[in-house]
Amino acid sequence: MNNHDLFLNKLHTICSQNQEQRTATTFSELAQAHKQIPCPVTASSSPTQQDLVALFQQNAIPLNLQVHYCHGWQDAAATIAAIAQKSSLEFTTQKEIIAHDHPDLQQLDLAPLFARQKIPFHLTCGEGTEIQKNTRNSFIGITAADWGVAESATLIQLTGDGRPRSTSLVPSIHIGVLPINRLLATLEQAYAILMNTPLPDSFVFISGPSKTADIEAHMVHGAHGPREMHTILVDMEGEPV
Amino acid sequence: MSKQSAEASYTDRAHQGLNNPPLQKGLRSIQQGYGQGAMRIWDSLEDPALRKRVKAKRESTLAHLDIVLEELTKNIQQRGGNVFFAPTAKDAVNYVLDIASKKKVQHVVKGKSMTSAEIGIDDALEQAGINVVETDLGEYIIQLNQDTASHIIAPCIHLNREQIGRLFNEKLDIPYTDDPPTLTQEARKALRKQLLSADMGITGCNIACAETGHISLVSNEGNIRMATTMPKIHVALMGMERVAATMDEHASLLQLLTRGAALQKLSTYVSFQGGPSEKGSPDGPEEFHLVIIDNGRSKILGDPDFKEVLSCIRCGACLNICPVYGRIGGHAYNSPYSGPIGAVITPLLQGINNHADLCKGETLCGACREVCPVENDLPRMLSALRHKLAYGDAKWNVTPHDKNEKRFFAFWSRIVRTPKLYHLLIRVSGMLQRPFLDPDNMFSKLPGKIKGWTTTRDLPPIAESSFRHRWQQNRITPPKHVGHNSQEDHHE
Repeated sequence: MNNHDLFLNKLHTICSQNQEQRTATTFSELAQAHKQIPCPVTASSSPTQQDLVALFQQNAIPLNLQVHYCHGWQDAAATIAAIAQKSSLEFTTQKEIIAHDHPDLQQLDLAPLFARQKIPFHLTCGEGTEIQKNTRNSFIGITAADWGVAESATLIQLTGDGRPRSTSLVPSIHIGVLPINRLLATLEQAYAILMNTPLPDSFVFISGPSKTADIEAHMVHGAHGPREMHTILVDMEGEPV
Repeated sequence: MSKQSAEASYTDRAHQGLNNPPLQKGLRSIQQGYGQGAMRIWDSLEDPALRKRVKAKRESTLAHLDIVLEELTKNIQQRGGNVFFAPTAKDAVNYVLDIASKKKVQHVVKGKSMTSAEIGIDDALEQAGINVVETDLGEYIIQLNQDTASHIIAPCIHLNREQIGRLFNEKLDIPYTDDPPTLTQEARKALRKQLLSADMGITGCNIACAETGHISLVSNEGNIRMATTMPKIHVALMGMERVAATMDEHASLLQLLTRGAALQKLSTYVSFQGGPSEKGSPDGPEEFHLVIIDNGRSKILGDPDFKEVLSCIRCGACLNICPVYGRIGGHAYNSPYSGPIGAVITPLLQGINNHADLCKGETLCGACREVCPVENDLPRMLSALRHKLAYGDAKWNVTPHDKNEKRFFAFWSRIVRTPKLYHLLIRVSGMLQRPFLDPDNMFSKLPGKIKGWTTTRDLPPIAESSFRHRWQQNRITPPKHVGHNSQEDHHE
């Protein structure tokens, strides 16, 4: 018997003695039993999309997360360009920007904007080593989110083709973009969607810039991840989806 | 406290904690902020029975742990991840050393993990000539200071900004400053190099999810995401109980964890990893190893008295409310696990006799049970440990901790069951005590083995004439016409 079986057989023997609590014989039985006991930590609600935007903005304040509510892609692109213009460098000596290669971000049509600002602009496509190099050289990383959660001002991102994880992590400033039709009220609702989505090897919930309070409980933003985060909520009313 | 004083006793370490002003200040701030804050969050939950239901699920998962771990393993292996089951700390360490040597690993970056401290992976890697760097800011400070953590979530609350400033000045060769943002920025610069160039990232696991086949890690700093994204190899060390069966169980545990730990709805980052990154990805590990560690946990699982403690999600709320931890700090517990949870789990993992003082040091006041997100009854388990120490226990290899104490109580039990002997003893003691009383008519210095009773307080004397004696002598008569003039008072 291999080490794996030995370990699990031992656990099987121990768990089987717990007759009171051991009710299932297979994983699916157990999962079914668990789903009969709902445990929502916050009450669910069905607010309007506009309420959600307000809630997201409100919950972002204590996180030091800057939220920009934009009307349409053009407005969003202009907002991003303004952030790039005024933000300063941290690790590098030249402004460069990298963005996820994702349909949402293609709508922004950022390349001409950054060309005007003379900022080299990269997409996360092509050769892996090239993407790595560009990510490390960029002071801003722009990412596309799958869903947002208003109650915790969270963006949820599944890792995948064109959407590597370091874009939201290595550059000093992270800009996350989310069309508001994918904004949810609670984490509970987000989990309900995740449960019915094929999940990749990696996904992440991001709620604000990196921070630490390890020195005398003094809050400092920018521990190891981005020191600054912007969430662009795009309202596409009147735009072709 | 530095690693050199590993032999100091619980009492010595507790005294050192009490006499450490930066620690006292840190403890006050964390207890006033986080401990009280967590209580307020639970009190304001819309559904007061929520924690009970979450606990019920958690216990159900633990009762099916074999099935749950098998599902987790299957789902991770399907994505090309490796799962290794380690019966002991040594097995886990050897597995990691083996990967490190096969892959010629030189630099390891770590995310904060108590399990990694429990199995002693840092020392083992360093002995193998591998450079190991802690990347959580608090843990990094502790590592530079050759120190150990004094809180499971906030490892360096025993150091103030001046001490950290001097440490950075000496070890990082930067000008002295005690400004937290500047110090953090210096650590950010120093650690970024390490995080971007390491060959292996080692993390713990906050809560795995069997249904989807992921581990999940919470962090505010982003160091854990770095350590699981940039190096080519990611090794996650997981105590075998740190798993939710389903996503809905995960959802509630995660939210209770971040609320209990730091009053957050969510931590800045919650990252899920369930295998190596897909071929062609520019980042993420090429190899993913999950090491599932028993190291004494299956014995706890098999004991109806203690299996409840495996429900713990290590949020640290019990440390933030405990009156004992709040005075003596974490070093007294001499374990990666401090506070009330440490006082239960450390003896169970490392020997009840070896850590006999821990369960005796706690007061059983019940605050830890009230603040626990999964309502673990730690006071009950502390009492059970005391019981084992008093009477011995073959299953846990416990020998009675203090034979004299046992003899004394056997003697005392005999006396109180024999009234004549008891009354005689009280009368004789009442007479014999006189020379030992101080001018205030109190005991302020008891001799020999019982001197501990009076080191921090005075004891009142035994009454020269006992209540019972006075009653018999009929010296107690009802008071005459006291106070009011109601008729009932005049019944003589």
